[in-house]
Amino acid sequence: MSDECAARSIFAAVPHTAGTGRGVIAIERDGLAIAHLAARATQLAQLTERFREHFGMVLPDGARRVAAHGVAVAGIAPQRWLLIGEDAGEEFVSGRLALLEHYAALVELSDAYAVLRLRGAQVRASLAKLVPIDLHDTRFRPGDVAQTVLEHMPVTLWRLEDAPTGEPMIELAVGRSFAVSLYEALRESATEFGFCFEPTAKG
Amino acid sequence: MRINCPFCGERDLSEFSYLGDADSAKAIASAAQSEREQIDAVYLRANPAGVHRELWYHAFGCGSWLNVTRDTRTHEIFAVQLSRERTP
Repeated sequence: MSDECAARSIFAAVPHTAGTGRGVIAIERDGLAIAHLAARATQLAQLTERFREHFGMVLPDGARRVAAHGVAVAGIAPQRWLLIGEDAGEEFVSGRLALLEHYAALVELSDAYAVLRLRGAQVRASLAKLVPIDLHDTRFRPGDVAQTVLEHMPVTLWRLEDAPTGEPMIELAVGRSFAVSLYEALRESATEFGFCFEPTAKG
Repeated sequence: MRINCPFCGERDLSEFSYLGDADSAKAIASAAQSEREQIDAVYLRANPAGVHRELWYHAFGCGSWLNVTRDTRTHEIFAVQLSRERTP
């Protein structure tokens, strides 16, 4: 196989630093299995029960994210969720999630999204210049999910538990064709604080 | 202007798009009416200076249709409801 066919990061060809310092660190979340789940109109109770049985979590009833055993589920709209499997492999959607299909519409989107994790002391200050939502510590809490717009690009973001250093961690999911534009917007916004990119992160 | 989306919380106007009068949409959906009434429902729109019930789409948020009760003079919003949960 020629190198042209080898898998490579969508961020491979973009500059990986800006400014000086490490105010914002962006980490590519590669290899995630992602699916969209929409409850069938009359099946919400059954779906919730089935999901709890198999994944040990209650589907969030709002714009919240919960995670257990390498699977995260984020509420993105009434009766709709984004499911993310870490290191889940290709069989995540066709296998583990397929049992939900009787109760929900399931769409495999692993290749449709690019996900970036941001951490660092200046994550909020950088994002505040880009999204029209309140990211204050008390208004956008760990586990909160928001869908909004970033320089005309629809984005989904969620706040993770703070890093052990106390720095906030936020992940952004964007349509893959927007990934480089999103990255450049972030990099420019974070330049004054120092920006650096790290290729991949597990867990 | 900010709209308090029942799912997403308070969001900036730029995330929404406007459709129009919520009650004429309801009239269009009603089958028990004459041709004249249907034409009125489709083409005639009140443009009130005051309280108006209208449909907004949260295009850059959760993608929900909302029924918003708003004063068109002051942009004060009195109620926001998911259209899917609207009582007829």
